[in-house]
Amino acid sequence: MNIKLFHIIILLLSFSCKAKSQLDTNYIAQNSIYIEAGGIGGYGSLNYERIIFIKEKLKIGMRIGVSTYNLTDYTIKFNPDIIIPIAINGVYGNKHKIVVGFGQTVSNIVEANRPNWEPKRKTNLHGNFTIGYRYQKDTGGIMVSCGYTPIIEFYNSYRHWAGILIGYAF
Amino acid sequence: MKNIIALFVLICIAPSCQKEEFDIVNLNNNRVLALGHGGMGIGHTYPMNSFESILNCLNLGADGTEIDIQMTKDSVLVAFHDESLEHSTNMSGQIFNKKWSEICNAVYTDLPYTNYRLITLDELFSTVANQTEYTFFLDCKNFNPDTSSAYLNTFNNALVKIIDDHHLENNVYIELKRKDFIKSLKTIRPALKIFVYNDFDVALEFVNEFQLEGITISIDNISKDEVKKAHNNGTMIAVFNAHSKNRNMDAIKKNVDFIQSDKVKHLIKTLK
Repeated sequence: MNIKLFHIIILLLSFSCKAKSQLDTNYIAQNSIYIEAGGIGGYGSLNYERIIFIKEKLKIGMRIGVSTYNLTDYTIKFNPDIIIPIAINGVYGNKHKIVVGFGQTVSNIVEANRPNWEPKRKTNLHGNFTIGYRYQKDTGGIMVSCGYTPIIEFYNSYRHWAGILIGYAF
Repeated sequence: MKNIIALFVLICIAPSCQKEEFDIVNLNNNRVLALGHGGMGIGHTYPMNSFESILNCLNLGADGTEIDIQMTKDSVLVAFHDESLEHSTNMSGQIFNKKWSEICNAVYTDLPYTNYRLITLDELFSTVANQTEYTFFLDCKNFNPDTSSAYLNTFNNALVKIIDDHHLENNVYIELKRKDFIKSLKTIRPALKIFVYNDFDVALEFVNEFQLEGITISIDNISKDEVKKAHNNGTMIAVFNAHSKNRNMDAIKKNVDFIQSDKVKHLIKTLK
């Protein structure tokens, strides 16, 4: 099976899963929003994450974000680059957690199109991985994280990359 | 109390509303030309010398831009800065060892998820509308160890052909560092405007020896007095390494003739 298609199916399936909490009596913050510098969004991204599976110290979350490089293209017209990082993250631990994740980034970048050199949007898919540390209380509040976030650009070349994020869980 | 707050806000805002006036005295009709450094400069999301970077710079309202140029094995002039391709693209080796057909699909790798490509000077000038209205500084990067007169002539002939084909003789300045290159180009086309890129004193000697147009130098390595000395000699000054707003201002205050800036937007806004 085509690796891109496989990733898309995994991600779509994960959207349909419902979070199953085994700690019904204790509130667990299942949502978080955060900004990431570097990371799977490129130079930086704004993200939403929702926990979709909980089992004791293990939580699995689905993340989606948005990022851009330029809001206008090189002809100075409003024509933003759009980068959408999507990933499934598994976090393990109490306040101090290990994060492991994988996913796919969709890029829609404006580039000069040969041979007429006019601006043209080009959409591409890329793989992403995350391994790192996260500080996050189960009950919510401020969260911070840092990690190694390599990117498989165009499913063709491996790029070493890293990210650091800060956000709020609720 | 409200009045005090309003006064405080006014005091805070007032300095930012003031546009600084400059008393510019130079050889460019007392006007500093705002140029990009390889387009939008170091640190921009568009890679230096890419089509996107250069066009972005010109479309923002810059007077022109500096472009780094190198020649392939089959005598095609390419806009590219580094000595080796691997530092900033997905290919390796040196441009002078490659044919254009081997590197035409090279992609800059500075930024994830992007596919900005290398461009030839011919492609660039064929595409830029009203190219004769802009000022271009062509910084000749000669990494080829071949210093034979045959190689120098090939390079300079390729350069002159591009300038002639696109009618750029009046608005192009050639930046060279080596004496042999300057001699060769002066022999082929004496009317071309050449800037020498070297330390100030050495550069001034070159200027006088070869009757050159000016000196290209880092903003760090020239004082206001040296700019004045050059101007008194009839020599224009172009500066680079203007990679912050403060450096843009510093360069303007030194009365240089051209600034090749990495903060293009700020420089345009300051000078217009």
